Amino acid sequence: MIYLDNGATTFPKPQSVINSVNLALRNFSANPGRGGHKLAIKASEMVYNARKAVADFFTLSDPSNVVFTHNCTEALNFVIKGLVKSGDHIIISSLEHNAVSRPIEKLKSKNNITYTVAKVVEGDNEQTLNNFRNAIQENTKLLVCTYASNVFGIKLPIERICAMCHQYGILTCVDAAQAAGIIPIDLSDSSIDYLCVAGHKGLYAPMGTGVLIFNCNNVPDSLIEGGTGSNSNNLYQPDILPDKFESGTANFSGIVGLKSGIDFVNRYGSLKIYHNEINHIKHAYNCLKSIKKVKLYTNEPDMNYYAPVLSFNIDGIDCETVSSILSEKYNIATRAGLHCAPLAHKAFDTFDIGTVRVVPSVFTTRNDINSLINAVYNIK
Amino acid sequence: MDNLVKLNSVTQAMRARDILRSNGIKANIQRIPAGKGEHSCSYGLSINNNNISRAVEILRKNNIKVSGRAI
Repeated sequence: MIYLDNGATTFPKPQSVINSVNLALRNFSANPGRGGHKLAIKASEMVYNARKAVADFFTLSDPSNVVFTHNCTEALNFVIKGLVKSGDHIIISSLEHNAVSRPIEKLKSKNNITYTVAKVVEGDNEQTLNNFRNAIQENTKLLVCTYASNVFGIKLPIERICAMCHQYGILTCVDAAQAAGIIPIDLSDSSIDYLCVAGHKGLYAPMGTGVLIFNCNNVPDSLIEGGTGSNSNNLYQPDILPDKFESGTANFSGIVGLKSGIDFVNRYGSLKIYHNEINHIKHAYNCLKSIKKVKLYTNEPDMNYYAPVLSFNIDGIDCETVSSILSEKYNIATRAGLHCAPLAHKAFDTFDIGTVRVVPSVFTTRNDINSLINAVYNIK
Repeated sequence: MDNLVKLNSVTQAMRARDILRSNGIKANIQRIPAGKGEHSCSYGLSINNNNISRAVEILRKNNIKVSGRAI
């Protein structure tokens, strides 16, 4: 299969990741951070090494500030629901995934919070920044926004938005699900306070892995309390990182796979991956543009304003039908519909029709993209 | 003779160990035995008695809280 649904999860996983998960399951799967026997300490060591690998990857000095979650959605919920209180105001972008908009909508209905959607203007970072600035209110507590749209690939001027928010004393939380592992992110000189990462996309880890990285001293309330493996005599949830947000048994083999995925990305280099994948998307864009019946929604993608994500439609054919034909007849995997991002589709007037989305990975070849183009050309 | 320094979590214990190692102090991770201070399912570092004061000072400077000690 030609797999172009890497926005949902990357596939295949590198052999090194598969091997490390296999080895973890076979030889080391004691519960980390619980017992004192040799295997438990070894498992704890492996988790700690994964924490260090994440910290190094995002240029963070203290691996304790790396919290392992089960996905990016969980990380976002920890920040949003742990920080925001009744009467607070939140700013989000017009391109958010439901991982951001749903918890916020829930808080709005239950907890008397308000939020403003700041419009992202494609190719105009100044206007985008102004829109975020104009959304700020006296009671704005938190900015939550995507690094790059999972539907249209548009990249936000994240550092400028976050720096601007800091001038107003607003905390910043970034959904890096589509960016981590592809677009280099350096937290050592960043105004991002909380970075939420999907392990299983650009970091090539198994599904069931995510990371919440703290780049500030403001630690939210915990959402889940339980056993953390230490200070068990105390009925209160530990207040220290990462334990405060890691109750219960961790996805040990997934975390080991995450370290291996980061090692894999490091061997390639994020920037090289970004460059290659944007070139694939650019090629797809230019070829699809020449097909009369194809509708595209953005300008030609480049590394200045876009992550490697492309959406399109074929005139007169429902996007789900197109995706189904691509899968059944041409053995090409894409994802159709609203991609859990209704706000993004509303911003581009595709809410009623959805789109077909194409996302490459490090394993995607030019032939794969050419096969997609030929298939789209032949769909009637 | 080794001292046991209690840390707040296994992550803190490993971070403390690495920091001490980089300062030339050997430290081994272990569970804090029952009877050596409160039994709270804790992780700690065993550190040679000669190095203990220096180790605690290094950890303090690196914002790692030592939550107890036992010999």
